[in-house]
Amino acid sequence: MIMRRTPSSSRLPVLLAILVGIVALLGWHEPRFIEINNLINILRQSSMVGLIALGMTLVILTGGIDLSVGSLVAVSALAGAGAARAGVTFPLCWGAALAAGALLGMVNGLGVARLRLPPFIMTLGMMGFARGLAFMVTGGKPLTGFDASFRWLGIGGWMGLPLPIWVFGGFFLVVWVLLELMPWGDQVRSVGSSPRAAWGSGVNVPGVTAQVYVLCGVASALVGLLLAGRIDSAQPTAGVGYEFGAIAGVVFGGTSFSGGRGSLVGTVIGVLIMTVLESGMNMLNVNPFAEQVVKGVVIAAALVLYGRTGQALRG
Amino acid sequence: MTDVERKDHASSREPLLSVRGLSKRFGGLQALEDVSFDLHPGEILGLLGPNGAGKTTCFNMISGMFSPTAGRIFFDGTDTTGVSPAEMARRGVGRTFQIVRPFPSLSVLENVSVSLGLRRYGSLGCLLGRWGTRSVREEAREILASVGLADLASRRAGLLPLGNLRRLELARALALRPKLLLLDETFSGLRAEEIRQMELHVRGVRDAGVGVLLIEHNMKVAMALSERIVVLDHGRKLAEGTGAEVAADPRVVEAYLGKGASGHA
Repeated sequence: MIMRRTPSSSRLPVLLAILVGIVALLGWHEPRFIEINNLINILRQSSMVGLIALGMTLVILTGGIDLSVGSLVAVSALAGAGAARAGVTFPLCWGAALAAGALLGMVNGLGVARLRLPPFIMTLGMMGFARGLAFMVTGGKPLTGFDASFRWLGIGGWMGLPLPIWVFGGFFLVVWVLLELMPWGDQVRSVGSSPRAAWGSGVNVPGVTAQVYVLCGVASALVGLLLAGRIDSAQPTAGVGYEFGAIAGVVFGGTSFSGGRGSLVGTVIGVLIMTVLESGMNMLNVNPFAEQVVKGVVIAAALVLYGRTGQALRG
Repeated sequence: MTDVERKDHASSREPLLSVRGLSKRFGGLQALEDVSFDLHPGEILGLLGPNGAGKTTCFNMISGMFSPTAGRIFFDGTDTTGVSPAEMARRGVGRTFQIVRPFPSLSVLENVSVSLGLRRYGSLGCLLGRWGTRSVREEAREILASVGLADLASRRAGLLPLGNLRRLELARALALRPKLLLLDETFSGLRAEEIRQMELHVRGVRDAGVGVLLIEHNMKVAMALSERIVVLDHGRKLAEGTGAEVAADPRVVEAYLGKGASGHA
């Protein structure tokens, strides 16, 4: 039996058609665009924002938002890099980064779940706090010069694909299983759909809420490791503005801001569409400032469109 | 199950639920004061009283949503005073809400699945639990069929009319496989035929050995279903006994039935 998410699943084919349509159009205009190497490159570019968008999907499904993801990227990259520089052997220094992301994610989660702070405020505070922390411990200077082993996640490859794509795929698989096959997914959606009802009928609302922010923090930490590995540098400015791309991808993928409805597949397609647009406009030499404008318009258009279809479904 | 067997069932065991000296104060309002009663497995106990008598407050404390100001609650042999709603659900207390609380953006099936997941796993357990949702979905379908909602499984819960929402509330509570079922005005707003069906469900649940605590405004329904009745008024226990005993109690007649009996019966 297939589990159909009635309202949102109808959007997936449309989204997929949009993605294929844009790629085909760009390929028709410029055949280099659909060369396999360029497509792999687009996937690789999508993996960073995509990882964060997966975590963000979980948070938004509970009716929350996480603005601190970009700052967590920087802090966890620095935690991993600092550990590596201090001579911690290589799988463990990755652990340091993941632990930092999970810990700060947990603080977000506890603030939202236990102190009942609005997610926007709590994660806005964390955004500033974590960024400040990153600047404080580094004095504004990046950490550079790592072993190839530390950098491997960012620069390595397997079976012809860059590792970031595998990390993205692996993380997708993990959260997809949690969300779609485990009762946990129902609980995440129930919290987003009606936190009061969820709490009253026995869902551990604080626990589930904390867990999604931890997962979002872990996703940010993974991105921190990919980024630090790729550019051989952990910078206090890493990840600035990532929340925008991630939230845009999630919303474009059809996940509702009011919580409870949405899908990870939609998010992945949403992120891919954003990357393809960006990459295509690059290739067509569109003015980079105009690029931002186009992206903004596309997101706004998607929201208006979703609002309409949502109303149609309700009426 | 015959009546004799049922009586055995009810009296031979320890009480399933034991409420002792329960009190709750909200600021200056004494919502509940020194209320005590017992409920046995396989028994339906009616909790009656005028509006504001403290019935729902009492439910909220039994199901863990509020902590009492004073008094203790014993469920299934242990002191569960002040235990969280999540823990009470796991231990086998299912409840419905007077004002229905569905998950409006989820499907009817998913609404039930949420509760099924709670029973099978704790909060971490449902993260690490075995490959579960598929069989959870099947069980959810069975429960929906038992309350007559099978055809609406994929409908969004927010779109259902009240009668179906009340059935969905019951389905969600039953999905916990409760030992104790708390029904908060589950019959209100239902049509006569729906009431008859709901009565059948509740009796069926009771016959399976579940203890049922019932808040009900419809006197006819309450009298017909309940083996014993506790009457609350202004937060205090006014009377306790069979329907006939309670109905004959002059204090009850004065506080509540004086208006209610002539209106409903």
